[in-house]
Amino acid sequence: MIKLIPKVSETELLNVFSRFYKDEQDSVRMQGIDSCVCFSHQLPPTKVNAYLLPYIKKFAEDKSWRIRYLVADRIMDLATGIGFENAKENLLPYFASFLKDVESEVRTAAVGRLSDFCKILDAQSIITKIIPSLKDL
Amino acid sequence: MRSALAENLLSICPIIEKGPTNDHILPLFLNLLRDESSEVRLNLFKKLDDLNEVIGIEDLQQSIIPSLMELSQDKNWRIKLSVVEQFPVLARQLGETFFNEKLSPIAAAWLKDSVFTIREAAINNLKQLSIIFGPQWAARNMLPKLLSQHTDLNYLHRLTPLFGMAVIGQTMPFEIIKKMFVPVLQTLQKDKVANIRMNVAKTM
Repeated sequence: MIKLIPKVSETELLNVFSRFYKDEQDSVRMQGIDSCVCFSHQLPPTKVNAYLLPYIKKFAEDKSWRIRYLVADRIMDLATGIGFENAKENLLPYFASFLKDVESEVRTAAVGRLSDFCKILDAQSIITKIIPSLKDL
Repeated sequence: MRSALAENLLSICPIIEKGPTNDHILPLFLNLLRDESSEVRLNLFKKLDDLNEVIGIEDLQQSIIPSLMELSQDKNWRIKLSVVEQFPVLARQLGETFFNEKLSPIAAAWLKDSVFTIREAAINNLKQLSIIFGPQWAARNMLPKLLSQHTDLNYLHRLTPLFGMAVIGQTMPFEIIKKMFVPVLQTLQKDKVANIRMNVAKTM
């Protein structure tokens, strides 16, 4: 909607978003990942940091593996939206935790994005944060 | 998951460079090479050039060959087919000397495979290889193996050199065709199996 009707204020949309992202059904919350990707491409960087990152972090820590799976699967879309520098700082810890997730689907999705995600990282981060998790796979 | 890991692992090598690749990625790579699933090993080969670029061919050879031998004899012919299709890539990466020593016996064995698709792919493989290493190389190393099949007792295997000549002939100079292909065609035109004689006509 943010793409189609730019006149709707961001705050209004974010308010709607803040209500449904807490929905008890994970199938409802799942739609939130797509919204996050759209928001991240539309909002200016300051607003991404202020409003969007907290939601992305909550999704990445969601108790439902299906939500974590989607974040892992869409990690590059999110990284492009929020900017690679920002992603390196904020998404790397979550990406590393996906590689160690209890649910194998989440680990598989993360491994599938491994080569793309590593391209936005520096060698040191890969060696210290990513490779140790690969050894346990 | 291991299949996805095999597909993605080696892309990390150019980013972290040689030292850390040797320390961290190589053990994982060797471990995946011994994986039970041939799909995992195959995915590793697809990205081999990333590893080759970083650690160099010398270190790589030791670990690849046994796994490659095993894959080339896999029970599942589709897996075998994927290895056949990877061969020109490997040949380009590993170079002529190495190929002649270690890989050409494998490529020759596929020409006699029991599955037609593998024999067909092996012929296409040979065409690619003769483009990579040149027609003289093919005439010295691979064509004698292909053409020697024209005396095979099984008529299906006698067909292989005919199909091979039709495909590879496009990349060969006139002298090689005259010297190597024509005598085989002359012999096979008198074959007792009609299908062979018909394919001689088609090849010509």
